[in-house]
Amino acid sequence: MRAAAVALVSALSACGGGAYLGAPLPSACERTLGACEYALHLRAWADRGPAPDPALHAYVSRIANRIARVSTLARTPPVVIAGEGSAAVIGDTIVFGREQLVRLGSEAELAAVLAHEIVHIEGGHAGLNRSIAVDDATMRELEGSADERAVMLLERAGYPGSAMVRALERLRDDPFDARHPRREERLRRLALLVDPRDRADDGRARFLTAIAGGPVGLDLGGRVGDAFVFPRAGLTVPMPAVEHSDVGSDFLVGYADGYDERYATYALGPQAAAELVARLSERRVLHLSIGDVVVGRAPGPAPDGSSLVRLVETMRRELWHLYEPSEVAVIARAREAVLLVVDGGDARSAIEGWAKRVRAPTADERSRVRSPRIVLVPAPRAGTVGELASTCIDPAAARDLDDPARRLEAGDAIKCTDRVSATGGAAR
Amino acid sequence: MKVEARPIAHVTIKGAGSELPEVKSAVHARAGDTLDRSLLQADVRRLWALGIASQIDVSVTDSDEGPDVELALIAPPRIEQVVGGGAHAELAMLRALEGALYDPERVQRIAALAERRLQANGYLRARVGARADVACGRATVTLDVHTGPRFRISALVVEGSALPVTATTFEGDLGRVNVIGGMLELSGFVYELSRWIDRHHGKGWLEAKASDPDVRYDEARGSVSVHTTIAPGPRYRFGALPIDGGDARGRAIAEAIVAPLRATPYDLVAFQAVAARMRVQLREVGQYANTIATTDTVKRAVEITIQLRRAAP
Repeated sequence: MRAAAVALVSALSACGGGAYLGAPLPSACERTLGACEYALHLRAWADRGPAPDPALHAYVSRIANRIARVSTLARTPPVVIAGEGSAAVIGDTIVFGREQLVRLGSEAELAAVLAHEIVHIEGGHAGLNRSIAVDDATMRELEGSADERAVMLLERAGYPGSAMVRALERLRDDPFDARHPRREERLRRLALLVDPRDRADDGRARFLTAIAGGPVGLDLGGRVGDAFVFPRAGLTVPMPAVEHSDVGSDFLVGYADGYDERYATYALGPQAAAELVARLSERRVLHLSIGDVVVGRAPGPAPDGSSLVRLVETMRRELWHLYEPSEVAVIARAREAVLLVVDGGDARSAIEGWAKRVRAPTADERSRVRSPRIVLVPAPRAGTVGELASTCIDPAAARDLDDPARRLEAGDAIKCTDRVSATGGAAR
Repeated sequence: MKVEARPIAHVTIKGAGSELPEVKSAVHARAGDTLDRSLLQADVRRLWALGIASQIDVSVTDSDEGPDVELALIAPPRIEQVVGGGAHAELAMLRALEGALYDPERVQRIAALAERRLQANGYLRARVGARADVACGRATVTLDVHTGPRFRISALVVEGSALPVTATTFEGDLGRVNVIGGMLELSGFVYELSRWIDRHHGKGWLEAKASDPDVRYDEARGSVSVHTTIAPGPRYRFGALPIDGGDARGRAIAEAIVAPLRATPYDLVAFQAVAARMRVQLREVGQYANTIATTDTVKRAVEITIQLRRAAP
C-alpha cells in the first residue's frame, strides 16, 4: 500500500502536479533535476530575500548586460540580489550577496565580479558536480581561469582590468575553501594580465550613488540582551534560561542541560512556513496576544520516492533547517514567519511555554537591530579612505566598507554610515 | 662554472611579476653571498612555486666586480583562441579559456573534465585532446575531439527484488539517466542500488544483497545493457517486543500499541510510527520510552526491548 502511495505521488509530480512554496513545480522540473533544483532555489530566495531594491537591481542588471554583450552569451543572465554570501551562479542566474556588493568600491569592481560569474555561465561550470564529480584541484583551475578571462571581458567592456584585482581584494576570503585558489595566488596571476597604467573610468561615482541610502547589513534582525528581534515579522523572542547560546545574523540558539536541550529561533519565508505548518503532526493552535501560533511536531527525514520527490522534500527540510522530528512553533506574518524549535527534554510543554513569551519588539529594540544606512560624505581634504574615515560617524564601519588604502581627492565621496551599529548581529 | 665560489656582485630579477613582493622575497641570493649552484636552484624552486612564470632563465655573467646573477621570469602566454572540436556544449569549458593565461597542466585538466562530461552524457568512448601553439606571447589551443556513438540504455534489469521495481526506481535524473532510453551513469546506479538494498533491510530482508552490475556495451548499436540480481534472503519478523520498567499504566499503554506488531514481518517505518505514537501517549502519563533492538539470526527475528521510565518530577 505504501509503495503504491509513493508511486502515485511520484506520478503526480512528474505531471507537474507537485508544488513548492505556494506554486506548482516550475517547468524546469520536467527537464532535469539540476535545472529543477536551481529553479527551486530561486523560488526560495523570492520567498525570503532581502527587501526589494528595484533601482539597485536595475543598475546591477545594466552592468551585467554590458559585460554579457562582450561575452559569448546570447543573452544577459538574470541577476538576483540575495542576502549573505558573495556571488555565485545558480543555473543561468547570477546571485549576488548584498552584504558583499556594498563593500565593493566601484562599478568596475562590480563588473569584475559579474564578469567572473559570466565566465562560469559561458563555460557551463555551474552544476558540473550534478553530472560528474569534480575534484578540488580542477575546480581551482576553473575558478582561476574565470578570473583571468574576466579581465579580458572587463577590458572589452571598457573597464580597467585592474578592477578584477581590487574586487578580489575586497571580497571576504575563506581560508577553508578548497575549491578556489588561494587569494594570493589569484592576485599573482592577475598581476601578469593587468595593465597598471590602464586609466579607464572605474565608475566609482555611479556605483556609490547606486548603493547610497541602502542598508549595510541585511535587516534580518539581531540579538538584544537575551532576546532575538525579528524586525520584518515584528516579533521579539526572549531566549529561555540556557547555559550557552550562539547567535548569527538571523538566528539564536541556546543549549541547556549539558547540550541535551536545544532552543533555536530563526525566520522562514511565509510560503516555506505555510508548507511546514501543513506537515506538522499533533498540530494545535495557541491563541496568544501576539496572534495565533501553530505548534506541533516537525516531520522527520525526507521520505523515499522518485528522484524528483526526494529532491523537493530534501530542499524543504533544508529551508526549514529541520532534519529530525522536533517540537516547533510557527508565528506567521505577511513578510516572514518566525520559528521556535525545541529538541530534548520535555519539548512538548517547553515549546508552548516559550511561544507564550514571544512579544512585539519595543521601539528601542527595533532601532537597535536596524542596519545602518550608507551615506556619502564629501572628503574634506585629499587622503586615503583609512585616513578620511574619521570624518564618518562610524570610522570602523567606513574602513570596513571601502578599501582603506584607496586614495580620494578633496570633495570625493566617502562611503560612511548614518549611525554606529548597535548590535553585532544586525550589521556585521 | 668558473665563477662559482666567488662573491656575487649583483642580483637582478626581471620579467613577469618581478615587482611583486613575494617574488622579491623568494630570491634569497644577495650581493656578497658566495655564488653556489644550490643557492640559485633553491631560488628557482621558490619562484616556480609561485606559479606566475612559465619559464625561469638564470644567467651568470662574470664582471670585474664579480659574478652578476640575473633571474628572468617569462610570463605564460595568454590564450588567444581555442579552435576545433565541433559544437558540443560539453566543450564550452575549454572555449572559456580564451583570455586566460596558458598553463599546460590546466588545459589538460579541463580537457579531461570535458571528456568526462561527454562520457556522462552518453558518449562513453569520447576522447578530448588539446595542444597549443605558442608564438609571440600568444597561444592558440586546438582541440582534438572524438565522441564516438552516444550510448543509450537498452535494458536495465534488476532480478530477484522482493520489493516492486518500477521504471524510475534507479533513475538518476528525470528520464535522462539510468532509465531505459537514457544515459548510463554507473556510479549513480550503484548508489541507487545500495539505497534499494537499504529499503529491503528496512522491510525485514535484513540479509539482502545485490550482485555487481553486469554492464554490456553494443558498439554497433550504441546501446548498453545492465543486469543485476538481488538476493533478498529470508524475511525477518518482529520478536516478542518485551516491555520493562515504568508503572502499570505506562506498560498498559505500550502493550496496547506494540502488541499488533509481534511476530509480523519486520518493518522499520511501521515501528517508528508506532514508537512515536507510544511516546506521545506515555508523555501524557509522565513516562518516557527507550528502545533497544537486537537481531537474532537463528530465529530470524528483530527483538526490540521497550524500556519505560518515569519523567523527572
